[in-house]
Amino acid sequence: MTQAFQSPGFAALAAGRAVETRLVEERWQAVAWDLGTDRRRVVTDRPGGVHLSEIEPDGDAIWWFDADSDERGRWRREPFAGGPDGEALHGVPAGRPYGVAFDRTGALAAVAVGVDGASHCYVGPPAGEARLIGSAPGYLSLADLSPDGRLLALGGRPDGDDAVLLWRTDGGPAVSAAGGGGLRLWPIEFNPLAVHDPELLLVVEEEERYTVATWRADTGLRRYPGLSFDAQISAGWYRGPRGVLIQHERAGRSRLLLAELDPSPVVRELGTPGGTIHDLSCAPDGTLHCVWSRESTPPRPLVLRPEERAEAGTEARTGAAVRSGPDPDHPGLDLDGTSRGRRWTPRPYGRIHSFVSTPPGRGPWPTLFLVHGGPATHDRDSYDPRVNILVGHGYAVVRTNYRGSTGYGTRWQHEYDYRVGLAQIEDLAAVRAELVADGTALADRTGLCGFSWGGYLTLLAMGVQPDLWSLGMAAQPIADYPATYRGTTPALRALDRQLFGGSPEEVPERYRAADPRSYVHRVRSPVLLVVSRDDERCPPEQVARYAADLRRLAVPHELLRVDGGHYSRRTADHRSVLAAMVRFAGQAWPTPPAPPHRPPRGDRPGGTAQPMEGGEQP
Amino acid sequence: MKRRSIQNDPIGTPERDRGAVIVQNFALDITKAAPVAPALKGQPKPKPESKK
Repeated sequence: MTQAFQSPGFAALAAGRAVETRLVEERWQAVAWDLGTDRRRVVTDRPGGVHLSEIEPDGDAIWWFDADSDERGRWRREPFAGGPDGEALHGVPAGRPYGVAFDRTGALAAVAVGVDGASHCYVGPPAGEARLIGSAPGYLSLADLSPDGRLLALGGRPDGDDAVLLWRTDGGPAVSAAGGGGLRLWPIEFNPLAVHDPELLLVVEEEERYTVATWRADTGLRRYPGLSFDAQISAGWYRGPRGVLIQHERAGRSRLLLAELDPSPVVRELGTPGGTIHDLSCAPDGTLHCVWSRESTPPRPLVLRPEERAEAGTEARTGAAVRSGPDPDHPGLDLDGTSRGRRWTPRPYGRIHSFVSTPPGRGPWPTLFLVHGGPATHDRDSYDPRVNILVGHGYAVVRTNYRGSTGYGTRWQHEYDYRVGLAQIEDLAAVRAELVADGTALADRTGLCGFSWGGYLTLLAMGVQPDLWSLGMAAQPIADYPATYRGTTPALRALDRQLFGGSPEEVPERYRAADPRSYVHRVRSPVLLVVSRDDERCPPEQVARYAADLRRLAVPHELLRVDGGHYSRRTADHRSVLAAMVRFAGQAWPTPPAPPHRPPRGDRPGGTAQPMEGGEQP
Repeated sequence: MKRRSIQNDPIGTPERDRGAVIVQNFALDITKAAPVAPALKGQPKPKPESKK
């Protein structure tokens, strides 16, 4: 999600029926799409929007997750053609959505939910009573239900004892495959054509490679060394008993490959324009429906028919670069004069990759680092409306894939000696120094803007490197790491234990070194803090305490409270936050060097600046 | 094949995530956008988008 543009979900046994998550009056809602008539019916009208939807394999009904702003809720179900909606499975408690799956015909459904720090998995007939199959502490994601409905595949921590769990729905003994010792495992999905002998597709990470693998009861785990990659992949079964589709994410770009697993893997790369595949799904006829974008192009559908257009693909060796699209090493120029380029900053431990967008004309410019969160994601050659808006207001915008980012191999993601936060802001500082030296960035006007874990890095850098950054804007951030650990979700606690090598009780010195509150007394430049009232991932109270610290220290700051949880599903919420950031940056750096131009429609921050709660104006 | 958006894999695990880029939260209805063509072998570089 890691980026949530959604392609349609298709009914495997009803070729003309699909579900979409579509923007309806500025909220995302579930929509039933009849491909035969090309008619769409809006299924939901939830005030907070809907971000997860599914369709039963026989196309009888649409499912959607009916969540509150704290991300908790229940799956609901409504007939595809319309009619009263109701609970999709009766007896399942409200919780966080940890996965949904169906057997081959849709006679049996499975859901996993997170409740009170534990994961619970239920099965039952759609609209019928659910049966609890199993529970476990912490976070387990439901990967799939086997075609015969007898086996559930769940994923825990990829390097843990619960990396892959196989639970029998009849209550029989469970099977597990453990990670650890440098091995990480992700269960993906069961082979839909292996009806009586379930075969699970997995991704294995070991020895700095990501490899496609399968599991069967009689053969165990089988790796396919011919399908091994140097950066993150995902995979899915595709057309035929041995066909697999692979998505490879490397250095900010996506590519798609088709392979036959047996007798020996033959790989064919599908021709896709250079950029990012945000989401993809497969229709029953084999057509691939992708959502694609690149830096200069807003997201749009990309439909691929691999069997009809085999000539469009290129034979590829695994690990080869995508050849189509603009040359990623040469800057491009948009029609509005925005320049977009890539930068590789050399360091002893590797090269730091950044995407740099600059306004028309010559620099140096006031420069904002738009710091990605996660941290297990990366900035890509993909459209980001925030970049356009900020460049339109005269700022150079830098998106840096610091250590810890995905897309550059396992060492880049994991090896920084548990120096959480500190290693990442060192990388940001290195890129900043290079941009100042080459005349891109104004030395006294470089700032940080981040959301969530990117907001955390923003606050940490404002205290650790106060001489470098003259502005910090952090939305839904971690401001007090130990407090966030205690208040956040089980999945994120597990992530933090992985990042730090333990809990705050086990390695307190690492958390203290990584905690923005440890350095708040050194902050002196203006800070904008945005918190959401129902945010369980980064709770608001710990940010409010950081704001109180700033107030006590007389640091110019502002605290903006918003609704919608950690990920609001209302576009207006995001526009208002960005509008506040643009206003705050304009006040902190009061003389923008270039008049703003109007960004494209749909990118404009909505409304005028609103009065903010609490804090002082910078 | 499952949709990427509901997958838990090396590329993304939404529940283990603090702050992936949420591009869709700005008013972009991708289903109304013009589809993009797949790249063909030897295809020249795409031209920049026209902004009307």
